[in-house]
Amino acid sequence: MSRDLNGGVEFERQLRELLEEGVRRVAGRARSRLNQARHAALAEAARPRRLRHLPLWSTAWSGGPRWSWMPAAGAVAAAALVAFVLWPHPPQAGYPAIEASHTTVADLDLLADHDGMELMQGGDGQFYEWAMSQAEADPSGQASGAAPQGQSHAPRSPDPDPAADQNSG
Amino acid sequence: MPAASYGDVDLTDSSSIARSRALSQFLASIEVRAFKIAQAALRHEDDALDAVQDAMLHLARAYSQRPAEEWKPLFYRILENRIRDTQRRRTVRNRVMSWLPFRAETDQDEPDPIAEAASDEPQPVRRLEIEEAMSALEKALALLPRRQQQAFLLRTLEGLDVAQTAKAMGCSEGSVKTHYFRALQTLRAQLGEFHT
Repeated sequence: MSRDLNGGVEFERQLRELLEEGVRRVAGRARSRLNQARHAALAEAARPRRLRHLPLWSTAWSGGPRWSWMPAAGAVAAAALVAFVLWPHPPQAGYPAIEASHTTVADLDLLADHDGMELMQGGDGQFYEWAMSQAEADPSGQASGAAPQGQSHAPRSPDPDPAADQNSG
Repeated sequence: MPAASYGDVDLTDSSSIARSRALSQFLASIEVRAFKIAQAALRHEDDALDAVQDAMLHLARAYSQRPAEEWKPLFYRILENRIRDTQRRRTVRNRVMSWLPFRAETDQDEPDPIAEAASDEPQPVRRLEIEEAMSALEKALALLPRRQQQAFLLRTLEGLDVAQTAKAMGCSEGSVKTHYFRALQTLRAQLGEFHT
C-alpha cells in the first residue's frame, strides 16, 4: 500500500516536472504576446473605474471620454439642421406679407366687379380729370362744385380702394 | 485578513502604484502556466493566447481592487469561462462551416518555416526522452474529460490547493478531489511505461 502510495507521489512529481519543462519551452512569440496582454491589462487597471467599460480609443484624448460624446453630438447637430431647414420661417422685416389666398380672391373679385371693369375701360376718365382739376385749384383738398355731367355716382377719392368697392358693392 | 505579497510589494500600502505593481507581478507569475492550461484545453495556440489575454483584462477591469490572495482563483475562474466560450464559438463555427461547400481544409495558421526548421544543436538522449514524455503527456491530457483535466492542471501545474481549485472550478472540494483522483488514474494507465 505504502509502495503504491510512494509510486503515486513519484508519478505526480514526474508529471509536475514534465509540465514545468513544457512551461519553460514556451516559445518567444507566445511569451511576447503574453507580455503585451499583461501590459494591456495593467493599463486597463490604471484607468478610472467609471471609464473601464469604454474602449481605450474613446478615452485616449485628454484622459476623458470626450470622443464618446461625438456620435451623440453629431446626431443632435444633424437634427437641429434638419429642423432649421424644414421649419416655416416668418417674413423678413421690410417685405410685405403675401397673403396668397386673400389676394387671389380680391383680384378675382376686382376683375369680376362691374365698376372695376369700367375703371379699366376708362369709363371714369372724366371724373378723374375733374377731380384732379379740383385738387389743383383747391390745395386744401376740399372740392367744391358739381360733378361733371354723366357721372351718376358720388365723387370718389383719387385713389380708389378696390376693397372698398368690393364692400360697397 | 493577512495582506498578500508578490515579490517586494507590500499590499498594506493602499496606493494605486503598489497595487499596480502587485498586479503586474501576479500576472507575470501566472501567465505562462495559464497559457499552457488554456492550450491543453483548446489545443490551439492563438486561441489560448486570446483566452489568457481576455482573462487578464477582465481580472484587471473588474477585480483588481479585490484582495490579492483572491486573484488566482478568480483569474482561473475567468479563464475557464473564456475557454468554455471559445469552445462554444468553435462548435458553432464548425457547424456553420460544415455547410459551406468551399471551406478551407483547416483553419490553422500557416506554419512559420523558421520556427519549424530543425535546430542545429545536438539533441542529447535525455532531451529526446523528455520530449517524448511531454508529447505523450499532452496527448493523454487532451483525452481527459474537461473537468478532470482542469482539476489536474490547476493542482499539479499551478499548485492550487483543493479549496482554491474548488473556487476556480466553481464546485465543491469533494468534486475537486474526485476529478483529480480520476485524472491521475487515467494518466497512470496511459503513461505507465515512462512512469516505470
